[in-house]
Order: sequence, then C-alpha cells, then structure tokens
Amino acid sequence: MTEGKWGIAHIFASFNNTLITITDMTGAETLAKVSGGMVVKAARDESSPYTAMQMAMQVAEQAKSKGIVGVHVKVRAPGGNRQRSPGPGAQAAIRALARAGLRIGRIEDATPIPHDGTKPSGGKRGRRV
Amino acid sequence: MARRTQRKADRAKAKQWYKIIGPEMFGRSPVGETVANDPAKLMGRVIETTLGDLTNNFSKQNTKLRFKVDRVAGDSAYTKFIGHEMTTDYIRSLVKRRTSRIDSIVDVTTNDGYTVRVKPSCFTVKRARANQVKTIREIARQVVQEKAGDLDLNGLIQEIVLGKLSLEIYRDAKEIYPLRRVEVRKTQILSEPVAQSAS
Repeated sequence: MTEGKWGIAHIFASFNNTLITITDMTGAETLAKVSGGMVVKAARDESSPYTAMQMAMQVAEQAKSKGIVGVHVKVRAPGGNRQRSPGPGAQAAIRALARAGLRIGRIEDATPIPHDGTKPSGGKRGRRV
Repeated sequence: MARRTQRKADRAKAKQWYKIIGPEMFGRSPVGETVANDPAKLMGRVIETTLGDLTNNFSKQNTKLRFKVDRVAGDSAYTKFIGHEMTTDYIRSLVKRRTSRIDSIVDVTTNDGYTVRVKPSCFTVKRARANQVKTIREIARQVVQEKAGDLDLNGLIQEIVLGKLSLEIYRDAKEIYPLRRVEVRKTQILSEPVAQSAS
C-alpha cells in the first residue's frame, strides 16, 4: 500500500464549477490544482463532466511530475445549507484521474453537513422556477 | 510566462519530503509522506489513515485515525494519536427507520491523566422508549468511565479502536433493549497530562 508517494485529491463539485486540488497526505501542501475556468472559456461549461475530465488529466500530469503515484479521493458537494450531492463533474473527475495513471485509494465523501445552521435560501415555499 | 515556471520549479526543488511515522501504539509504521521547505512547518500537521491500512485488515476500513506531528528528526516526522472517527457512510449505513440511534458523549480521564471525549452510539432493533434510551445512555457512560479508570491512554485507545469497548457496552445494554449494533463513533483527546507534555 505504502510504496511510492500518495496524495489526496480534493474534488469539489458544485453545479457551477468543479475544483480539483491534489495535496500531500496531510492536506497542508498543495501539489497541483485546477478549476473549471482554467480549462474552458464559457462559464456554463465549468461544471460539465467533459471539463472535469480535462481538468483531471492536467492535474494528474502535474502531480505525477512531482512523484505522486496514487491519490485518496475526497469528494465534496457544496454542503452546508446547499446541495448535499456532488455535481456532475465529480464522477468524471475520479474516472479521469484513474485513466490518467494515478492509482485511486479510498474514496470518501467530505461534504460539510451542518448539525444545524442557517436557513437555506429560497424562502418558505422553496425556489419557484 | 517562461520565467514564472522556472521560479516555480526552483521552489518545489527547495522542498523536502518527510516520512510520517505512526505513533508507538500503532507500531510506528510509516503512514504517509509530506513535503515542506522547513522542518518547523511540519509541526501540527494532521494525517488521517484508516485502521485497515495500518493493519492490512480490510474489515477495518471504516475507522479513520488521526495523527498529529509532534516531533521531527531527520527526514522522519513522529506523530501522536489525537482521535478517531468512523466514516460517515458507515454510520449512515447503520441508521435505519423505526429504530433508535442512541448517541452519548462521555468525557473521561484515563489513569495516566489524559482527558478523552468518547462518543459511543447504540443502534436498537426497534424503536425504544425514552426511559430505555436514557438507561442505555447511562450504561454506556458507566462502562466507558469504568474502562477509562483502569486503563492508560494506550490501552483505552486499543480497546476502543479494536471494538472491545463497544462489545462491552453491547453486553450490558442489551438487557435493557435488544441492540443491533454498538460503535464508538468518535474519540477526541481533549487534554494531556501537564507534566508529560513538556517531555
């Protein structure tokens, strides 16, 4: 298990963007990071699975050049009083990381869950579209 | 642009990789690696591993252990145990409808002076009445306090992490109401003995 250097891939996937940050095992030092806007021009594409794939490729390349052989994955949705389920980029990002040649260790959900907090936006009757 | 990348490469080269060694109670095995340009920056970093990784036992993947760097020597950083936690997906798999989940939070002092917060959870087969819930919580508290009184930190952590403590709570509390499962959900070390922290 411990052969080679391992890192942690923090994947934050909301409906508007995806962020991938690869850090060392303690999470204190960032080794590579990328966001949706660094890959595509249009704001509406920042969260798309295809973007996430390209992002994961880029970030995996950088991480591998620093000697990382595998990553544990921490997936995170916006959480708090917003969605608890990760956006469309999360799945694609994990798969692309694996395809890019990084080994995948544990996959864990790191969404912040409030023990009770502020009222979600949208008012009493919810968001009416 | 080219100059910027050049400088970045230099900064990365100035950093050194350090091995993180687990605490003595988990056999001083290497748990991971971290990078820093200054060994002083390693102090206080927290690393999380699972018990499954440490013991090569896949059934223990649900227990996360947290270690904090407290001493750096050469290229290895030594850690101490600061707490454990069950993974959220495992706890969620235990929670079911029409059953009671009995959480309790107990602060105890071990016989070598550490204050530890232990959070056991009991899961019943069917929904329990309020006074049964109260009694089970009281039993859990008693068992944890008794255990902590006889043991030092090392022993207590071993009992908790290997599930002996939850087994004992289970044995005592199942007479009040049938239990499905007892887990120690989380522990935190709140304070250390004052005299020893200097050493």
